[in-house]
Amino acid sequence: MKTCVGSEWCRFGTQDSTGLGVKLEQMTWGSWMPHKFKIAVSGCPRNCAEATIKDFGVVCVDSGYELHVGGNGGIKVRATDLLCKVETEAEAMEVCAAFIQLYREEAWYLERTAPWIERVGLEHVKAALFDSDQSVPVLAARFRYSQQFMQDDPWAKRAAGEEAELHQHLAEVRPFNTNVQQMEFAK
Amino acid sequence: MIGDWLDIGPVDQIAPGHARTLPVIGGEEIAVFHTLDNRFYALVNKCPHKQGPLSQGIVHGNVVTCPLHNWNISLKTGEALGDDEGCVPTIPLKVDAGRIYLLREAVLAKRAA
Ligand code: SF4
Ligand code: FES
Repeated sequence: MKTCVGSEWCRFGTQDSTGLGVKLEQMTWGSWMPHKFKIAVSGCPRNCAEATIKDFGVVCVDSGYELHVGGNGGIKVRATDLLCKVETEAEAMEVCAAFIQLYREEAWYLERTAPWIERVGLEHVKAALFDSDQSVPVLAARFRYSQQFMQDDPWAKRAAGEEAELHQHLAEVRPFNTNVQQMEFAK
Repeated sequence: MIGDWLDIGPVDQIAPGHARTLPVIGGEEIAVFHTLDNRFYALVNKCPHKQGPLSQGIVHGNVVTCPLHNWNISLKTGEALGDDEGCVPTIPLKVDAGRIYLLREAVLAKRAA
């Protein structure tokens, strides 16, 4: 997950790209995928977060969000294809969840989105998502359902106090305190 | 070893593979380690490289890897392993009837800073 600094910090920003990035990260972390999956959100078409070489890239514009898919920045560079435009953050997240779920269900193991889309064709992906109004909500619901079981955050548990004793001292030695003298044992 | 032993409590205070600390007022903090094969060691809690907190390192075998720059320190001897050179003082430790004891004079030893 990568974002630019967005409307909060940049004079060109059209939407809160960092805020959407945080929400997408919270929605997607921990999910199992055929291969690694990169997401970016840029706050305007200057595209500082390089969203057009990511598996799922959001480019914010005045009228909403452009959603791009199937990019890759590695050995074989591939710019994304434009999947669709939406008006709200909630819709952008819904399409992201649905796209990820379609990729999880259809791509081969170890196949990134770029070769997957080249294999099946962008038209196939668009048809699977948009031919019926039901496809996006149904796929997104499947993604969210499975995430209930995958998002087990060990750091959150630690921050909430699990195993807190590991971070506490065993005791304290105060050489001139008579209480400690009583703890001593002669061999 | 002859001398006074300080009882620092039961062995189950330290989970295997972990370490906990024992501050010494006027002295140097001690790290007490419990290895995965159930041995216990105590060292001054300062890496010989740049004083990293060894108690926060990863314990493997009889070695702790410093969290700051990955030096490997022998828990038995306190010596840096591999190509690195340096040594941290060890504190004699014994386990008796489920409790951990440290040699008092080593705990209270005045060391050059
Ligand atoms: S992509 Fe646009 S909004 Fe984001 S930092 Fe670059 S110029 Fe600013
Ligand atoms: S301080 Fe321990 S390796 Fe540098």
